Amino acid sequence: MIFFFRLRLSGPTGVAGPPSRKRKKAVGPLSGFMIPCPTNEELSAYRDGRIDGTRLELIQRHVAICQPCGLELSRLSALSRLLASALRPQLSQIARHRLHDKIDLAMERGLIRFGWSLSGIAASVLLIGSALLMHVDSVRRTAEAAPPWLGVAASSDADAVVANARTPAAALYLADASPGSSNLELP
Amino acid sequence: MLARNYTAEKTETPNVEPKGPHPEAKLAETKLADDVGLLQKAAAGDGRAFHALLDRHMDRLYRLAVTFVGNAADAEDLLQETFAGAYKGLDGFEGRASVGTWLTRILVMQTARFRRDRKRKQMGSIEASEFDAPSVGHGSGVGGVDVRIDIQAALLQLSPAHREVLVLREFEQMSYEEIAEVLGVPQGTVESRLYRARAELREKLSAYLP
Repeated sequence: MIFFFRLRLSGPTGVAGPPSRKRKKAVGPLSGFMIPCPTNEELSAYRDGRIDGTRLELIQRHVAICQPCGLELSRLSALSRLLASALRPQLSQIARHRLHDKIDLAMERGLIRFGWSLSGIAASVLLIGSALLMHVDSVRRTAEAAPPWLGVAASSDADAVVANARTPAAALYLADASPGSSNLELP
Repeated sequence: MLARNYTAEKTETPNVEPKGPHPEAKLAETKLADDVGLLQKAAAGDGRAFHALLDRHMDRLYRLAVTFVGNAADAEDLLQETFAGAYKGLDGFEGRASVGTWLTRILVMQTARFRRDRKRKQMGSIEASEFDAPSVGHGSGVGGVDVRIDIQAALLQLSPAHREVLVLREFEQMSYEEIAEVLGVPQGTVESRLYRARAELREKLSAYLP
């Protein structure tokens, strides 16, 4: 353990450096030898149960007989007791309702944001689709190029094609494709 | 002989963190599992689950918030921001820590943001102190309300880093590991900050301590 060899420079007893022979003699009956006083920081950690193993055993023996270290631990306990008596504010019922309402609002905003995101995606798809259609428009439309579901008869003659347009969509398509025949009759 | 008598009177048993099975361990585990379950439901879009989670943790987080910022109104705002932030970041919960620790971490981050905003607003203003920390009394009201007020005042006089670590340990009884997780610092830093915070607070509250 690192702490085992750690010498206390300033602590409860105010003694610096290695333990004196006199101090070792004072604890002889209990532990055989006396470790130097742990630092206050170490005592704080010891009180919080942060020390274990051999070092824990040594400190336990030490604080059992070292008055300044025992006093330091008592002071730490007193501070904890004092803090335990500190104000414990309670959230009022109105504040609770307000909090729930705020969270509802945040959830709604989240849903609205989600809705906007969906709308954005839909708008993007629409734009891309329109752009594609415009691109298709730039290519000369022929009866042969018409999609099969429009129901346009395959013919190079514009009038014949109009006559064969079986659906309104086909008529509109062919009207676009043949600028000369704008007065097309819908079937 | 004297030493032995002293031992009997003064020996302090360390507040060792429980390592083995605890009588309340099962209950705590159930609660943790419930927390995670609620969080998962909330992440799947169940609003009621999130409200249930809010009910479970709001009191604890509110007390923490009041201690962090020093007044109820700001603490309430902070709590709202914390839960709103938690709701937005539901998918960000990795399960490394408990839900309570995760929420506390969000609160600490929101407090830091609040502190930065407050400082920015106060720049150039006459008010210099961060939270207008009141002064600590001289122990005239021992055993009464004054003590509690003085404790709160003394806590507010600590630096935010010291205040947070002390409150999480002394009020929330969090382990060093949990505090390190919440504050995002190593455990060694938690230990040293805690020691300094205690020393500073003891000095400020010396009138109430032996």
